[in-house]
Amino acid sequence: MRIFSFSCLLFTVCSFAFCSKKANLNSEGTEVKIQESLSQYKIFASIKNEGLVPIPNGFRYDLNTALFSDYATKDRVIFLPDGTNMEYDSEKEFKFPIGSIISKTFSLPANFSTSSGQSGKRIETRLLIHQPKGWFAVSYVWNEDNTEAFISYAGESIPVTFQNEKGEKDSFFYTVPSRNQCASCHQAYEGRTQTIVPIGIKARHLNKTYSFEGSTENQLKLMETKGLLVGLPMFGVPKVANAFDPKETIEDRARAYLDINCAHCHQTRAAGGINSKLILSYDETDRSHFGVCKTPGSAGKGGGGLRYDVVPGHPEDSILHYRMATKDPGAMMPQIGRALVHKEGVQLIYDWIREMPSQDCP
Amino acid sequence: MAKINRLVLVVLVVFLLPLFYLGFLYISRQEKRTNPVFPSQFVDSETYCQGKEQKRYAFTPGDTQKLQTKLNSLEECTTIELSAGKFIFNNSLSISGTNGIVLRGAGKKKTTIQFVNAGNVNGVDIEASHNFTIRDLQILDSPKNGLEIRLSENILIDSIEVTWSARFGEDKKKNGAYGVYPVNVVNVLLQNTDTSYASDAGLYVGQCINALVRNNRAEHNVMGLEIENTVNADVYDNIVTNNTGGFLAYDLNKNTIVSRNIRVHRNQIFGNNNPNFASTGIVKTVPAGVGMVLTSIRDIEIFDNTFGDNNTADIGIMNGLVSETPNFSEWPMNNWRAHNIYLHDNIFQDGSGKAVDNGQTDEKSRPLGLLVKLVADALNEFQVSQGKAAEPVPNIVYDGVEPGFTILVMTTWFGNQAGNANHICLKNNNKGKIQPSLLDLNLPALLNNSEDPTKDSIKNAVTRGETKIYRASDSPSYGGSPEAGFDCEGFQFEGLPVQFPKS
Repeated sequence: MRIFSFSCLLFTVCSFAFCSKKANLNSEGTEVKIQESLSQYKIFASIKNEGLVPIPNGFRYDLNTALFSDYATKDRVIFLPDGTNMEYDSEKEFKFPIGSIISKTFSLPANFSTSSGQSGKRIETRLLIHQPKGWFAVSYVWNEDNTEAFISYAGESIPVTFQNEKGEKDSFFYTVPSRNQCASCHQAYEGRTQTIVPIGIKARHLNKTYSFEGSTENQLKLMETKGLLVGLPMFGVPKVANAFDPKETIEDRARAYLDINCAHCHQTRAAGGINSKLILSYDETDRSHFGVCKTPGSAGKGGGGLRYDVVPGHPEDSILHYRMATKDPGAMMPQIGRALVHKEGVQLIYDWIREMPSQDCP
Repeated sequence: MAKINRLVLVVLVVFLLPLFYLGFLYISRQEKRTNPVFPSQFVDSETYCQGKEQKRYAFTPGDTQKLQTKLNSLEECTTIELSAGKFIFNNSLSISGTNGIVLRGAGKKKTTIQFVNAGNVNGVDIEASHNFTIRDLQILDSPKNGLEIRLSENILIDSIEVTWSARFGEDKKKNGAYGVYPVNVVNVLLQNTDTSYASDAGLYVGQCINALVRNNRAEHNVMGLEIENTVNADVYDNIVTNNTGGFLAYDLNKNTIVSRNIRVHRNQIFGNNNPNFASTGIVKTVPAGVGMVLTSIRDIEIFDNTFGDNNTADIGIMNGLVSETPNFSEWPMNNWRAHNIYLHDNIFQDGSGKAVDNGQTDEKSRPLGLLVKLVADALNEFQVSQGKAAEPVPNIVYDGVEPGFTILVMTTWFGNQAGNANHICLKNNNKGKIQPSLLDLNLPALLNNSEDPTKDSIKNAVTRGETKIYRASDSPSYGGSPEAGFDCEGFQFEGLPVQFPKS
């Protein structure tokens, strides 16, 4: 028994060392070569149809509340160069060493299929690669057999069919974003200088129980234990709610939902917030910045004939709700990243506005 | 010791505290202004790329996929040349975070970028890309805005056309909102460009610093040309006709950029009488037949323009309380007033004011049009009862919120004279066929403590002389004289702090 577990340990250590040497995870500070196909990065031990398995030093993670992308399921992995770690930040994205890769693989839900009839198929893997010049964002689109994904600078529009709530066959175009479109969500501004930043890698989104490999530990704690994260304080780590956990308050759930889905743009350092002055960050306390009785910026067609972003007690009179619930190209929010309406999300915002103490806007 | 303490206390209470309070009052009443730092000159892509490695790629309509890939892997100082012909795209042409890019076609009537099944995107979409040039091409059928440029510096838009192929009925309501839409841009030169059939504004400049807008043509849009929350704008030699409304200068409430230093001259603003086809937004409230609207805007000089044949009125000067929240405390930038407006040496042809909203006023979607019509009708009824002839709506309709209204009393506390506290100066506008007249609405009187004006409340206000027409013969009482509260000569356009190339 002892011999067995020792050899097991030995094997694990070896495989760690072996794989990370083989992987295209350069040492800290050097540029990662942009590859034509996903397998060339060697960040996945297997990319076969049956399993997308990260190499052992890839860390799979998830978020309290995830961003909605046409009901796609997402598999998220962080890869840090050997012996390096992320630096904790209480509000902004963590600081990553050069050479880090964040991967997110999008798969269709089981009842959605592509033109070949495959259900639950992998559709794209988005990579954020931390280069010496900053984050580089690019998507890889999977082939029909789920055996390889190829680089797509320009993005793609992929026809997808599914059964709608009435049981009818319905279809939409799933949009793989172009590189430039990546920057329209993954952005932060200093003046008019744009930098590309990760969205989900923030303390408040990651602060939850780790759900992989049967662990019951806190995800951030586990990152710290594994040496992936430094600077994690003992107390006071912010946390947003799980937007779809009925045990949480409606306020916390709605704010969490808006934070991950909208606030990467609707914040003071990004285009949506700068132009419209609608700030949807979880920590925004000014209710008027948050849309309450606020007339929109140049919403143009987006206003849906309504006057205010949020009319407390009246979701049907609120532009925020309207723009989430519509599929009208000129009006829908978010501007890219969805072709379908997130029914559960729209319902949540509807309930949240309806339950606010009713108020007439001037 | 105790005595000194008491003395200090007395000095503090009697002198210093009131002084602080006055200081606080004074500062809090100052208009909040942005003081941006801007580059001292306009650096177009050519100048920016001098001495740098430059790349050039040419594409034909068959290469759309290759072109998209190139646009998404651009290096700075790259020129993209599109041949003559029609390029069809199902996603926007976007450029993000790369400087010194030139996108050029073979001519605005030769190279077309058309969007088919393109989702909810802008046609050409530029973000954080400085020293960008777009020229000599046509943008057709954008789902949203034709050309949108955000958060960039030194942008040259030259000789492009933005239009939509849906031109009738319900179809055109689905057209994209804006033709050209630079927003949050420092230094933008927009010239020789035509826009038509936009369901909001054809040419729009918003939240920009230093904008030169010249030699453009806006036709068949809901609003032709719009300047919004912009500091330093020179707008001249544009032709604005056949829109619902011609020119709009407007400040959004709560925007941190408060407009100032705007000059509008040598533009032709006539015959903007097309029915409103906006689906939403503030422009949906514009009655057909309006030449120019100045709403919650200031520091604007309007001269040498030609007005005429605008069915509702040539110019509307409105405070922001009519279009956004009428609650004064909700205007943190104190930018609700339309003030410091110097309107001189313009040419007023005739034919304007003959049919408010083309005679199809709509209380629900365009209430201001109805109000103007009712007031004009009441005034004419009063005129006729006095044995005088009925007249068209005066060329200029003005609602400044009258002296006597609580808000104005507050803002006049530091010395603006009652009577023309908003500093409106009209001078020498007698070069055309007619000398313009001004209708001064007195909203508080028209409303007469009710929420909406009624025919009676309007009639009473008119009869009491609380809403009246000023004609050129009434001068100087409608501006131009120092005693009316506005020293026209004191108005000075500070000028654009950057050198734009000569046209």
